[in-house]
Amino acid sequence: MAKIKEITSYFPLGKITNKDLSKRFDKWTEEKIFEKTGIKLRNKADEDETAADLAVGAAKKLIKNYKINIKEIDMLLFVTQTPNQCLPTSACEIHRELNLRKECGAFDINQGCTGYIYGLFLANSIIESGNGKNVLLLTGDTYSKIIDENDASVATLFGDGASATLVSEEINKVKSIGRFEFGTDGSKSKLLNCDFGGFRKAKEEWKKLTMDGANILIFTLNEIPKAIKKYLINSEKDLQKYDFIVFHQANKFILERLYKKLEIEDKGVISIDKCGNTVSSSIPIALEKIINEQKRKELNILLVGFGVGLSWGITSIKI
Amino acid sequence: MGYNFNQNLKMTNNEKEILFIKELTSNLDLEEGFLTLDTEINEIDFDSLAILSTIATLDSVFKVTISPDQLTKCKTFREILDLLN
Repeated sequence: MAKIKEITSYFPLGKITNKDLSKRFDKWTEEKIFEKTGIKLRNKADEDETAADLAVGAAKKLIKNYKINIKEIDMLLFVTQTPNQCLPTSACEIHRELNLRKECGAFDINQGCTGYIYGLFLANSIIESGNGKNVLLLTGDTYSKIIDENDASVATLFGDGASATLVSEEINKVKSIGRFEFGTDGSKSKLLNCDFGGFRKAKEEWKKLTMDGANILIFTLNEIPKAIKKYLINSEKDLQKYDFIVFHQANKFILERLYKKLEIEDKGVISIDKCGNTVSSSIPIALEKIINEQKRKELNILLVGFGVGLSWGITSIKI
Repeated sequence: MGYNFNQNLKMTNNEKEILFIKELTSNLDLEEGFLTLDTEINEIDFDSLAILSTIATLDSVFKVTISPDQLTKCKTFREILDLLN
């Protein structure tokens, strides 16, 4: 059986405060930005610092803090949408930086807000199928590099960050990672879009990140509660049985409405004030905080990713 | 289960109007008493955030999803209310 053993987050040193943003956007005061987004601070990578560098930082911190034997890692997964280059896969460069053994596989997963759920799904599948005992799951994104800093709808929300999670085999009859359900609405792929570095459009037509916030809100309010309801029915579970419910930390505005709609204001986590929306890292960052704050031995947590794709993914864990 | 995905809202048109004005006044940060059904949308700063707030409010209070396209075609708040029926 696979289990999440440890989680660590990592942030770059650059900071973007609400004061910085309010100077740039006339209509947005510091207070209004915080009230609507729930964010006080976003972290920003240096010009020569990539998502893979941040993921290496997270992995090194995890390995050091928990005295992990890197020779025992069988697979390295890196969830990112801001890779170092088209090829090689950034995970191979991370493999080099971490000095992982040659018998360790390494690949990237191009997913964003649902990326951590996809990563856990793969880590769990590798272990459950007997093809590995220790999977190092890294997430990292530097949306600051694809954001138009004059576009308030994205510049106020996104922050750079990374996380490292060790998923290991455990001789235990109780499942620590539950069922997975995923969904995709490819017809809405343009609602959150960035052509940068791709081949569909000529280089001259590349645009930075664009987000249709209103239609993403409608998608989220319509699809996510339905998807959760279906997951709970299929899993024969009740929302009230979970100690915490961790959604992708998009922004306070959307999370409050989702939690209200599901009547889980008491369990729904909002952990975004010091880092903003970190895309693939938002769920593990929130999980690390819960683990540090809760001294209880075992917690049942429902994880829900949703966003770019448009995509969604749900699983439940015991940590 | 402790939640209800399909609440049936049974209220008179008058109750609906009062709730509509009250909720939008609060969620769009408008002054108490300013908003009426005849208020024109361009009398307020109906920016992208206001559109988000309106969609979210109508979804959570009236369980009706209005698209941004529908919303931006409305000239008065009465036209928005009509979208709920």
